Amino acid sequence: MPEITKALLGNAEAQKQWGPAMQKDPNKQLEGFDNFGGHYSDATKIGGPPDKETWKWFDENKHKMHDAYKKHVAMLPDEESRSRMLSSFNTRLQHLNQVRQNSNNLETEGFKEHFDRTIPDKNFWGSSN
Amino acid sequence: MHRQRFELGLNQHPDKIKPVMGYDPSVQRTDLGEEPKSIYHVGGSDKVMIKPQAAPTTKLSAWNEMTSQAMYHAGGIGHLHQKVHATTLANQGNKAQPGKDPHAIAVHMAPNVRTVTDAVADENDPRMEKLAGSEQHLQSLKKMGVMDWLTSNEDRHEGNIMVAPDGSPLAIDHGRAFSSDRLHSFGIENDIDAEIQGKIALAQKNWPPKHARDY
Repeated sequence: MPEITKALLGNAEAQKQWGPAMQKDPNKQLEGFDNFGGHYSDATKIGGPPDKETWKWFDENKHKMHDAYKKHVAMLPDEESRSRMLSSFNTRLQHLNQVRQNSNNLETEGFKEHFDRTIPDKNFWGSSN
Repeated sequence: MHRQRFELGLNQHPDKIKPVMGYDPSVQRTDLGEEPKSIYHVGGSDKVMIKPQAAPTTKLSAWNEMTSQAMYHAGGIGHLHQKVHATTLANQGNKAQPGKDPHAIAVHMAPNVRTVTDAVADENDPRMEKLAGSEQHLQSLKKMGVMDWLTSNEDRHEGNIMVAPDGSPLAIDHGRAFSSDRLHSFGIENDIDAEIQGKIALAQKNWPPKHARDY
């Protein structure tokens, strides 16, 4: 796990460093967002990167999940904050769609190699896995 | 006006979770970290954790939990999300004051689960082998990982993934979800506003609450 990500987990000082850089710019996301780096989520580190079944589920449900998010953002009190929340989420959803599209263009093994390169400790389960 | 909508939205969240009633008066105060938390035993065995709506580093803690849960359910994977529901703390002499009581989140703690951290450390516990040997459980983790991306959840470490005895995973603690969205919207979250500071101070002063009022 990169030091900056470690620091982000509960380190208020790191938030102060990242906050100004990220504020008002939805294109700036947290470390690990650009690929399915295992350090971003231990669920990915253990379960592995999304495969065809995962993306099929994502395609079938992303609009419903987006609607659920919009419904809850509508409960927030400030209009400008709501707008920024939606903008940031939309940017991330588009990025995820792009990653999903790119995965279509890769052979399964190619994507696996790409994934393996991004996760130094991919052998979470040991050499037999 | 919008503040009222926010409160109504939390209180009347359509999630079909059975209300928890009859808290045991013997309260175990657990974590004295950055926010007050208490665990209540309900019905003799089930446990519910009560947390105020906001943590000092996350002003929308309860909102994050509820929104995350709603997205999991919308995506058809609600069973992978530890159940939560919105509540308020009636901590003013045990008399509820609608509209004034601090909001809180009730976390229904799943029974018989262990964190990945604990399960890996216990060589006699077979649940991790069951997880690793199940394509279904691994697929659940893949989806969980996509959700962490989609919800910008920066806090999915091994201590926030629970594993049931059959190896099925469960995502817990989404108080820091939507981190990117919140930073874009509110800036540095430690600078929480006075209203929330006041509610946290009130909750801490009266902690543990007499009871939580459920919806």
